[in-house]
Amino acid sequence: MLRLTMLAAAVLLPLATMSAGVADDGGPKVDHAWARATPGAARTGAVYFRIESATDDRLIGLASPVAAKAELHTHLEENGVMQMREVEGGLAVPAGQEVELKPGGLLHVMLIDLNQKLKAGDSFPLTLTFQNAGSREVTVKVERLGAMGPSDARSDAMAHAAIHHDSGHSAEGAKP
Amino acid sequence: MRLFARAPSQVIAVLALATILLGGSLPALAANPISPREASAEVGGPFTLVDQYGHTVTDAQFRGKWLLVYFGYTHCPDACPTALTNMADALDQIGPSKRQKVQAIFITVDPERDTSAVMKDYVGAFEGADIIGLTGTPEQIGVAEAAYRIHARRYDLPGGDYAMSHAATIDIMDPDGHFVAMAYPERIGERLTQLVP
Repeated sequence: MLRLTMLAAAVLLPLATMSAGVADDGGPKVDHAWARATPGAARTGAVYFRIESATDDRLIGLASPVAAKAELHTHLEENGVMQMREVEGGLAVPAGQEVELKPGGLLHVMLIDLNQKLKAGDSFPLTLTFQNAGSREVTVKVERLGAMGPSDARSDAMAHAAIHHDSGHSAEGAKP
Repeated sequence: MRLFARAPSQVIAVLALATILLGGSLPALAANPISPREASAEVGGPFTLVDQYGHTVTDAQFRGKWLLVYFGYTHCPDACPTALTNMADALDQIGPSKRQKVQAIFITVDPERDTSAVMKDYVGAFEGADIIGLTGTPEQIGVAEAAYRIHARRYDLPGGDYAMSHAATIDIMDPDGHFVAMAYPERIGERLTQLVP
């Protein structure tokens, strides 16, 4: 599993983009937290977000009152099929680099054993625990099942993430 | 087993090169590098399934259309809704003349939970794509999986729930029902533009 973690980190790193914005305390800032609406009787969900930090840190824990467990998951592919696997050891957040979880990417947060249906328009809290900075709670917005990003960032997603034309980026940061 | 490395072209290039060096073929793979499944076996074949309205359908009913075939399940939190969104976006982007020649179908690998009613709500969420959701008895689904060389299996999650392995790629079948190509979901629009006249 360690090898898996390192591989995930190695693939992620080149995707991270340099960014000027940092949180006030220099610790990890989490924004664009969103989830997809869950269909039917599904008891699992996926959450995506962006993290950036002025100092090196590591995301080591996830929790939400809407689910019994929240885990960082990646995909493994074998013989044409793929399945999810928990990433053990957490996720590195290198100083000054944006780490983004998004659909079609390698990683997502998997909500397991949901105790409520996630409906578009709702929101719920998610607590991220970092090795150095401790806990951050963010509000996760629920988007429709076919969403590929948070609705308030749609125009941003079309442009390149590196173009910070929207001050909302830093306004939505996590609070300790 | 390898990580499902999407997008980075250098990774794909390395994989393609490795395949060639290892004596694997394949112009098809090199041109659009994807799963070895494409090169190793014939994909597609007869099936009889049930659509989201409860009607029995067979593969023969789709002749005359280019088919996008994706095997997944509705309780799949990340990859399946992404793949269906990719298909819906692709259909929206290829233009009306190509669009009318293409039908997307979503075949569940989890017939136990994905009844016709569940499939109806699910495919309906991908608006404008007119995706047909197919389920059936476990035996019927097994026949379709075997035809398309999908070996989906169930695995347990904490708390008593379970997940399924599912297709990594979307199969593209021509109007005669013959397999043409497979593509990772995020590239399906590009492939349709190339393939559909």
